[in-house]
Amino acid sequence: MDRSTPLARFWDEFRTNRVALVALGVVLLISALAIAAPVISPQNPYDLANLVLMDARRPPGFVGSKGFTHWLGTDAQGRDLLSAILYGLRISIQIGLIAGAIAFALGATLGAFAAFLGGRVEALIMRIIDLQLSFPAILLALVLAALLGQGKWPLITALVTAQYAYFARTAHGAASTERSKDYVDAALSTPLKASRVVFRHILPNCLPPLIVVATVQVANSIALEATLSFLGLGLPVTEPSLGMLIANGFQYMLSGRYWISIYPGLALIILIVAINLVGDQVRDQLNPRLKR
Amino acid sequence: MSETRALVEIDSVSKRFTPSVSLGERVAAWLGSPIDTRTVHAVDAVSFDIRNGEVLGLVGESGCGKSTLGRVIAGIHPPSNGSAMIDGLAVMGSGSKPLKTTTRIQMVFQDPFASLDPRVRIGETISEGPLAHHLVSKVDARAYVTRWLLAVGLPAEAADRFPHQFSGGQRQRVAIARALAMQPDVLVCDEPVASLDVSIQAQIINLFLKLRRELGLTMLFISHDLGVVRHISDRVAIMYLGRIVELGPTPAIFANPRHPYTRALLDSVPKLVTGSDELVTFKPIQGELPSPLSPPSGCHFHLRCPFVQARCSTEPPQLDGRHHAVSCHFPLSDGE
Amino acid sequence: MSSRLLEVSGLTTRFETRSGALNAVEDVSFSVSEGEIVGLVGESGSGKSVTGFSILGLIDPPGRIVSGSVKLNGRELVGLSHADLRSVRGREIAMVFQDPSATLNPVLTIGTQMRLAIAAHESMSKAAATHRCIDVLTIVGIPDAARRIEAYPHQFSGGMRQRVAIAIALLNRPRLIICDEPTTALDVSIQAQILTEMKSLAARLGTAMIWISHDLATVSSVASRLLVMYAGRLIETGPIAAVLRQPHHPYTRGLLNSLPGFAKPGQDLVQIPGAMPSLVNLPVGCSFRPRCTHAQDDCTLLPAFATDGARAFRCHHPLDLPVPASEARP
Repeated sequence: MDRSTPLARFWDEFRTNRVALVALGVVLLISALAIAAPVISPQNPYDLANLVLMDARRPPGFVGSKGFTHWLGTDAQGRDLLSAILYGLRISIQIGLIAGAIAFALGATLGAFAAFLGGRVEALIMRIIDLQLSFPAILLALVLAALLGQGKWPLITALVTAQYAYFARTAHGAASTERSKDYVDAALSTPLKASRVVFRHILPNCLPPLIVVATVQVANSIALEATLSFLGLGLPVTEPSLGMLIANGFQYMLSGRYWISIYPGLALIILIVAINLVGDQVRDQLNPRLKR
Repeated sequence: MSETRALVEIDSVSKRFTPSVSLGERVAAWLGSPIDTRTVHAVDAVSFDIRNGEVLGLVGESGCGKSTLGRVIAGIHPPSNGSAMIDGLAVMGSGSKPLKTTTRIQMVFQDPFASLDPRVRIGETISEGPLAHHLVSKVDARAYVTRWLLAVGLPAEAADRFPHQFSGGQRQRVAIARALAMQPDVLVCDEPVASLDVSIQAQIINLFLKLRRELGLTMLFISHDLGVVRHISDRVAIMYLGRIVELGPTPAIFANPRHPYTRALLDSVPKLVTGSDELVTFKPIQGELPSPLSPPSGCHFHLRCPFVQARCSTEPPQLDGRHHAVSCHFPLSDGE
Repeated sequence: MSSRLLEVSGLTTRFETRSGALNAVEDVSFSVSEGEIVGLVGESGSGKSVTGFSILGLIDPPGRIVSGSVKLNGRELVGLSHADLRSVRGREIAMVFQDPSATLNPVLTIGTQMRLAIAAHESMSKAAATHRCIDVLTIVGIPDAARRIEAYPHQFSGGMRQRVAIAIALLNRPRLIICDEPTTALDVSIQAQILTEMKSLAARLGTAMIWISHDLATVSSVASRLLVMYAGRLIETGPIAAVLRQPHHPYTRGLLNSLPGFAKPGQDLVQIPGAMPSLVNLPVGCSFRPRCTHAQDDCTLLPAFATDGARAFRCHHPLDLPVPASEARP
């Protein structure tokens, strides 16, 4: 008998893809930097007392009045860009993860229950979700963000609303397959409560496709958050996320002060591409059709 | 056989499956495209009793509705018509979305690879039902699981493992332990040995015999394997295209089948005879199994029956007879 | 005895798995004569199907034939190129599987598939090919073959699909058909029809068959010689009547005794204790030793495959008692 755990086998296979391995390293590195931002960044960009307007819009490598080098330059408020990016990543990842987790829980529950209950309930839930999926997520998020106003939780609400449908659709598909398996019938003949059948039996068996969607959707919600912030519908100006940093620097692009927009943009792209590369490999490994 | 009271009563149970028509198909139908809305009568007004303490074998070929009937009795599917009752109480509650209300009937499935949740440890698989129905407290759950594992011939350590760490025969033992842990009066077994190897089949059949002796279980034993059913059952019901065609004591069914289908079915199984020159005897039934979508009129078997007469194609026969019931206009007599 | 059609000797097929190398088939030797039906019986993991695949050269990595030879009419098949093997498959040896859907392409009509199967080995006009297809379909008992030939696989019932699969196997008039559990997925009434059909086909066309199955009764109803496999090795062979009358190997005896027909209704069946060992971790010596009630100390040495006239067995302590006569019970 094969004694290795499924997780160990999964990791053995994952390791064989160099690109995914490097991407995973990048994601972990960026996450670690973001978590450690308050410790490692030279400046607290949210503390207005720390900002020196004299140092605003300085190019990379400039040694500021506080005596440390601004390796990536400063923005229009005199923030050290490296610090702002680290803090921005922290917020972006945080919001991406929270929104992703809530959308996962909500969508998966809804989709699995729809598949389990069947009949009219299923038809109603799935039609609503189909309808929602026919709009671009950005449009929905824009409208909601505009309605709910600025702040972390309104933003998360907008992101969740825009994204839960993807989880619901995936969970519904997987749960419909699981629903027809004998172990569900066994639970029904015991009988167990519907909630236990769904949460303890059906949903855990739907995890592989949901995890694939989750990796992609976390990247998407980070991008979406950046987009909303870029358009001024995201977080307040005092807590700049990556999107807002890009937006703030945008007006200086043509005056040669490229760094204010470019560096936060690069950080965002590297993060999103890395998450997607990891997600691709996870998807390839979990998709039985691609298995030889 | 002594007449004991009926524990399970199946009262003209029917189960129909109508394909659900989606909005798109409705539009297609409106535009003139043909769509399939034919109803499958998987189980067609079936009535019989299972007596307290007996093993009733239910035999039939694939598509005859025996599995569907088993699932209706076990409370997984609600019947379209009629009711399954245990001790006079319906297995399923009423309402538009009926739910199973009793724990006194439990089920063992054919494929132990599909009937155990691959992500749940054996111990939890066995204890979750009893915990949910307060048959055991959380504190005693571990000992309770051990008791049932030992009863089905598995070591107590099995509780901490996952299904994939076991062979087919061992998994079927787990599935049996799960059903027994609910302390049922009736066990519905749907082809419980069909997916097992020959040498393992004997072990599981012996386990059923032992459990029956020790726990006094009443069983509905569904199988296509006549040898297994003959060995384990007190009475046998033969099912053909959704209807019971013959029901009687096992020795009578096998020695003197009265329905032409039962006779043909018994003849068509290759039988090993040792100590003779003709090693194996069997005789095929003519024709194909008709589609349950469009069963023949009258007696469903009349197209394949060697004794068919005019009346058989128009008038469906009724299951008739007290001890040895047969649903045939012209039943075979003894020794024919 | 008529001439040897197939001669398998010392065949060993090994699979490299994550948990180690295992011999799915080990040192298997047997022969099949012209027109003979040989039954190959074993439980899952016994290597009976892998033996069939090995003869056809259908072993893909991580598996490979590590030693032994498979000779068809004296021609060695082990080590042939893929192209040469393809010309053997279908024309000289055909295979019928448990699941006919594995053989049939759902989007092509039966006729198209059958004509393609002919074209792979022979060039002939479409009309002539169609004619042969209809002939073969009629032989396997498909009514109204001329019309049904334009139907798709899903328009046939399970039993009819298996007949079509058998017809395709017969198309190029092979000398040998390997049937891997061809009736397992079918209902008993349909199984009986196919068994009767195959038996008369072998008699009429002189086609030899290897009939692989887990079911002793089914095998005994078609085959004249029996091969019993356990954990990758042949453990007993011989004329089927003789083997069933007096099995020498305790495993064969155990298989026979565990059938419900050999015990009184309601009484415990004679069961073989334990389960088939893992092929990665076989017991030393005789693989059946841990489950055998007759095992003694010398069973830790692998018994040789001892030949005794037409029969052969792999056991240090063969049984001598004849099986008591049983009545004809399923």
